Amino acid sequence: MNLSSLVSHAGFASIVLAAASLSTSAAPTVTRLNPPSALFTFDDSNPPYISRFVTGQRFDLQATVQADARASITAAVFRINGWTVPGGVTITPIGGDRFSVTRRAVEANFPGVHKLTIEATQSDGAKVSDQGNFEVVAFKGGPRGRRAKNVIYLIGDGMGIAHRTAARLVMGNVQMGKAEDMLAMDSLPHTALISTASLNSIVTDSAPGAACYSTGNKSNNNQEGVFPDDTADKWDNPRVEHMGSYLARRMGKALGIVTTADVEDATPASFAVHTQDRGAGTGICDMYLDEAAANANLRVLMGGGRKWFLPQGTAGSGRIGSTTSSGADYVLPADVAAGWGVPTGAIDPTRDLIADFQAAGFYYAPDKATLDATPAGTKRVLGLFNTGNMDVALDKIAERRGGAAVGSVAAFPDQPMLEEMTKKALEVLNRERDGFVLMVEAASIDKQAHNMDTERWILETIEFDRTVQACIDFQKRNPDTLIVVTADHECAGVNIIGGTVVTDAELRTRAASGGGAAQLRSGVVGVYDAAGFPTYGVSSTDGYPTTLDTDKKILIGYAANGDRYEDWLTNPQPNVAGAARDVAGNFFIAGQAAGAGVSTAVHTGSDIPLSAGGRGASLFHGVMDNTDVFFRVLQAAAVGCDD
Amino acid sequence: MLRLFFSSFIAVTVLVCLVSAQSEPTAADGPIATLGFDEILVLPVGPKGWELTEKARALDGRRVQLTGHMVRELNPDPDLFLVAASPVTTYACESLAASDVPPNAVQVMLAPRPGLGVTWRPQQLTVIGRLELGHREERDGRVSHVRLVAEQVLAADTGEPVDLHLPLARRALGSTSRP
Repeated sequence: MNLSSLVSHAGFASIVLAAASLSTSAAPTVTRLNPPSALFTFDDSNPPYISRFVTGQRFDLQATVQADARASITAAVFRINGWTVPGGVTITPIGGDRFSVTRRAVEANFPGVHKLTIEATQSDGAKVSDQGNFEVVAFKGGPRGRRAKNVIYLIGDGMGIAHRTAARLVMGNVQMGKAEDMLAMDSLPHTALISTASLNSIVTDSAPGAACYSTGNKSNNNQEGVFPDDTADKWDNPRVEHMGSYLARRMGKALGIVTTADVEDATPASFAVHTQDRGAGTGICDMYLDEAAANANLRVLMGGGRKWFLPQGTAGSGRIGSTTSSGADYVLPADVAAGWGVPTGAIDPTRDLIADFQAAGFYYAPDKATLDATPAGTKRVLGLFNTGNMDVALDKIAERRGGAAVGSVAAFPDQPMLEEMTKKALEVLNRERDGFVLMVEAASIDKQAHNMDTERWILETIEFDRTVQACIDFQKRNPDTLIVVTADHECAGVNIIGGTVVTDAELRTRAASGGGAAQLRSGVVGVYDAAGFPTYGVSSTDGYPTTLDTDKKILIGYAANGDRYEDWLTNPQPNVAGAARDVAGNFFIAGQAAGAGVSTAVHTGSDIPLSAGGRGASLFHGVMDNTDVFFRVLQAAAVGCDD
Repeated sequence: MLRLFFSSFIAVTVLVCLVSAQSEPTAADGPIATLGFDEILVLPVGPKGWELTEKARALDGRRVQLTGHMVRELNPDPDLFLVAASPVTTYACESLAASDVPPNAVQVMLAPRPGLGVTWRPQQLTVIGRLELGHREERDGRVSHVRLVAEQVLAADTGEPVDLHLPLARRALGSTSRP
């Protein structure tokens, strides 16, 4: 439904008249209006405008109306700038004499701030009206600028400034105050700081922290591609169109998603899926095929999470026969399916999703060898290299060097590195005539920072940087490509507190002594001058550090920590609870995060760095809200820019 | 092994059992086989699902003992926990939906204790119970393929019973060593 004839500046006058003519003293009340706005919530019509869209981007209108006791809402209409949004609304009772009113998949085609009005009629004839607003963003410049044919989003999940700095200290050979080598992401010419608050908290989780890059809008924690509503249904929330779908529909671009996490995880799903529950893995993975492959030209999906693709009855399957529990499947309300032109879905735990992807033309790779053997000319790839999250770089590299197989490496010994997956994704997507959007996530920077496993997240960051280099190399061959390197939030309050003042051998002696802080704090932690310049060797074979347990290594502190023992040494096993490892040293550091945070470190509300290169990169500068990134990317891809 | 059997016997006779509603194991329940984590799945995993080992399949429905560590979960179930070869943690907001729990982790099912949840323990545990194979979906959406219906949970080093429904003493997390 196109509202281009309805949304106009002239409409402002009529909306004022329309609002004035309505009774505001009716008993029913509007308790929620989507898209979210400060006008509705705080009666504040001034910027910043909470909900913003690009021209033609689809989104749902939704209101929750509280009726009088035993009354019902019998009719409702949405107006934009006073003009009635055509087409029927759906009125759904949601309990407690409350009703959800929805109008699906509208779009607005004129830039500017628009007033949204809901008018509802109760069964006794009483009426209620309320208002919100949203903005359709006007792009600077015009269609004469050069466009970015390809967009590569590189997201280091949880990667704050200190994660990058730590990787540079390890890889850059910093001496006499200067790094001999900067990171690949350091070489990107344009830099910005990104604020990350979600719709409901100063501290975001990865779902809204990533979805804002794909939709341009805030959502509550745990939500992907939707606005919050008042129902328990995971799949009926008001939707916002993803960048992938928008660019596929309007410009024919393809979408690729590559992650080291389970592909159902928050960041990858936030680029293609619509749900209020980031854990609904069965439905999320079904939606990749049912919606994203069909409507967003999803052509590459790689990561872990094979369990969601195996039919129930196969050992290792995680598919769920329910729409309500964790890991749930999806069944859409009829108005969502009809409005967005997508399948209703089904509870189908026995679905063989790998077979369905193959039937849709995807080449399936369960390991690196098969990925490497992708036939020439392949245009669709599904890579599922682990049943859960993929193993981390430190453990994959250790196994490749002939070390012990820890984590799930013994079960999945041939998992590709992130840069290997990304190179294959770029090779496949570059066959798309109209270009692509590729999201690449280094998921375990965050996951290992949660666990305060310093060496593992440092190596994850290094793996991520090698992936950035692969994308820079691609961009050099394909200059009409925009590269955006950022994060979704900071994790763990990471910072570099100094370096050890002892050799690795002495540190190991102290770590085995049981002497606690007297052995592992005093006499070990060097600050200021004592930190000096730790040095690391890099393998000429694989390009990763030969070891992170050097003499006088860098030391990391965690401002958002959970309980842990600390001995500063590389942990032999991954994902071991901080309170259950390094116990021999008896140096206990109590967590300050409350509740569940005691067991792990938590996300922080700190700003995160963004680096950009290639076509349109100059659009990124200063301090930006995370939703701004979406609009700058769309400016580069759909409108054009001067660089 | 002998020590473990002896400890188990002591545990039963003094009735310091973690699960009040569970019956004591008796000789009639059959011998207890030892199952290692490396004996559960055929490794490496193939291109699709997992394959259970011959030994695991032969022990389906029989009493086994398994020694490992509790998985530390952000949102633990009151009566279930996972045991793995190392004391891994899963921090994901979405419970176990996207996790780093190794595939050969085993779900342990305890008899419910109303009002009491399972509390994580850092030390190695030995779980004795009946092995159950096959798909099972819990109310909260977690799916398991290998389970132990627990009769006893013992401290692996001492063989003493561990009541996982009781809170963990603060000192176990090292508070006595804090400066």
